[in-house]
Amino acid sequence: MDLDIQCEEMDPSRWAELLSTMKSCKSIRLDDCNLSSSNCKDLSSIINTNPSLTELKLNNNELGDAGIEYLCKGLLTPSCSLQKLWLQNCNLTSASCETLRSVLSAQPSLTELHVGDNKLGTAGVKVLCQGLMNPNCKLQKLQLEYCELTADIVEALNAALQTKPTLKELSLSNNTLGDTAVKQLCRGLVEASCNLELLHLENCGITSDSCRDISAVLSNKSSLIDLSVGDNKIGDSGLALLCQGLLHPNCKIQKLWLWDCDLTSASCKDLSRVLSTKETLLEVSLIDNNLRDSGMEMLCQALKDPKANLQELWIRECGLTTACCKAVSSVLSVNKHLKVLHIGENKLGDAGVELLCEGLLHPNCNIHSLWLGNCDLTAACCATLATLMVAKPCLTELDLSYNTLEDEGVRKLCEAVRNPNCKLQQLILYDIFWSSEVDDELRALEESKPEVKIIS
Amino acid sequence: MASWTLCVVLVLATVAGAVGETRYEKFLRQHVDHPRTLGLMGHRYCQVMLARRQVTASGRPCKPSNTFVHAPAEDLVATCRNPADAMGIHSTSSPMGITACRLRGGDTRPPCNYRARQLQHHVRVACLDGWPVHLAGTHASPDEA
Repeated sequence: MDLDIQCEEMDPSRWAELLSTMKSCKSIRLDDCNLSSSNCKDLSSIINTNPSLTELKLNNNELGDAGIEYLCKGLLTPSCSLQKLWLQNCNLTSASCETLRSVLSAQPSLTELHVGDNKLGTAGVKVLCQGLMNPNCKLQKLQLEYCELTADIVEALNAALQTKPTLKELSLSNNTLGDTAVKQLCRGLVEASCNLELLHLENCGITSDSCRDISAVLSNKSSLIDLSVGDNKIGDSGLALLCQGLLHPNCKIQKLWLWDCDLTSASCKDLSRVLSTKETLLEVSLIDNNLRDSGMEMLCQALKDPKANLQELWIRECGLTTACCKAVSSVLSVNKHLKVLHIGENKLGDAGVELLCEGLLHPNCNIHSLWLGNCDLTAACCATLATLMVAKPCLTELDLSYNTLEDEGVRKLCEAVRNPNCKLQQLILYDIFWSSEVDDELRALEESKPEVKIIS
Repeated sequence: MASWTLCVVLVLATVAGAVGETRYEKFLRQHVDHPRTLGLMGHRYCQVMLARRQVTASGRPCKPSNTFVHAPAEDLVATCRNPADAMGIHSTSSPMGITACRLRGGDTRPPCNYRARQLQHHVRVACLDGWPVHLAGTHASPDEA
């Protein structure tokens, strides 16, 4: 039994009602329910008396340090076998860390701790690290995003990592760590015996300076399958250094997030090498990098390589225009692996989409999710899109948000959706203006074909 | 607690399987937060508000951007009486406080990570029968640009 409630203010009678349900739940999620420290007293007894509870998610409630103290009374009982604890944005400070440390030290069942969006600070997380070092702690996933951490935290983190072979996922995104700290962290990760699978360092103040050391993690940890360094100004020189690690035979990376990294078309040569040789690579995000048409054309060459196994490509907001659409189209007509293409926020225009559709319609093409939001599209391309929707049953998700499709365009899409050959499951139309008549038509369509969700 | 009440009311309306909200009500739900909900700073404003207003919800992909206007609904209704441009869009006479939420990073499924920018912008709306039903964007005052 699971309880999953989001964004619901709890009055006392509702709370009492829920408490009796909670006694037998395996998973409880109460996100943004205006809970406070007093609710924590009740939750503590639930934890105490419900040994089958494995997941507790209390994000976005002002529990405060006092709330955590109450909660931990329950968390420390021997019968508690909680595995996953989420306390993001719960107004916790470093004071909560003492309590959390005792939980980490006493509960080997705890495998996931998500405490991002709390002002824990370096001092607080140092205390947390002491808990991590306890041999009883078998934590696998640690999420510390937006915790107001600074460079000083790395020493304590590294010490903890040395003792934690169980750790699989570490997220430190949105903490101002800086290059010196990140380099130190990377050296620690290479030395640690843990088989880290996921490392997220988005917006950590990283520049190209850190990239040699991050590269070393890539070439040393075959376990690492998910790396994000998005929102760091690593630039083309940083990317070149990262590629050394990426291309290393030990590197088995699957998901690579390089969004908003200050990359230009100059990075595309190295990126192309990675795309066409790293057969493990399945998902790449290059969102918000000024790759431009010339850069894209280089990537397209790589994506035609038979060794390219990429399934998801995110090239939203990359300064692309109609000019690269022919190259992208030719990829789509030979590449059978690509399933998800995010190419929104590029001035592709109707002409660009017409070109893309040539490739999309090809029998080789297996794209099931296509994102063309804010691409300067008008009603003019909707006839071709309609043809696509009907001709390709593999297409299940289509995003056309923020395009001035007008009534005429939306009507054409509706017609396509009505066609029994159209297997679309989600038609995403955020922020498009249409008339009342078209609004009625969309509603009627949803009712007559409930397997399609029209999202706006 | 105004936004709470709005949230609960709308949740009940949807759950009750009612005919559903009007397009104007949807506009208010997705775009108007006045007075600006307290206690939510920076990106947390976007994350929490978009979830409370059911813009972010399970089964819905993360909306790439969304603007909240911190002005009385009446002011936006009044904007419909301003002359429309060639595209049929009306612009507010004076700038309003807004929070522009922009999706960061990659994932399209919740949890959706946003960045918030607080600005004083003119708000552009499309109207039907004198009611604002669509936020067509915002822009700085001409003299500021």
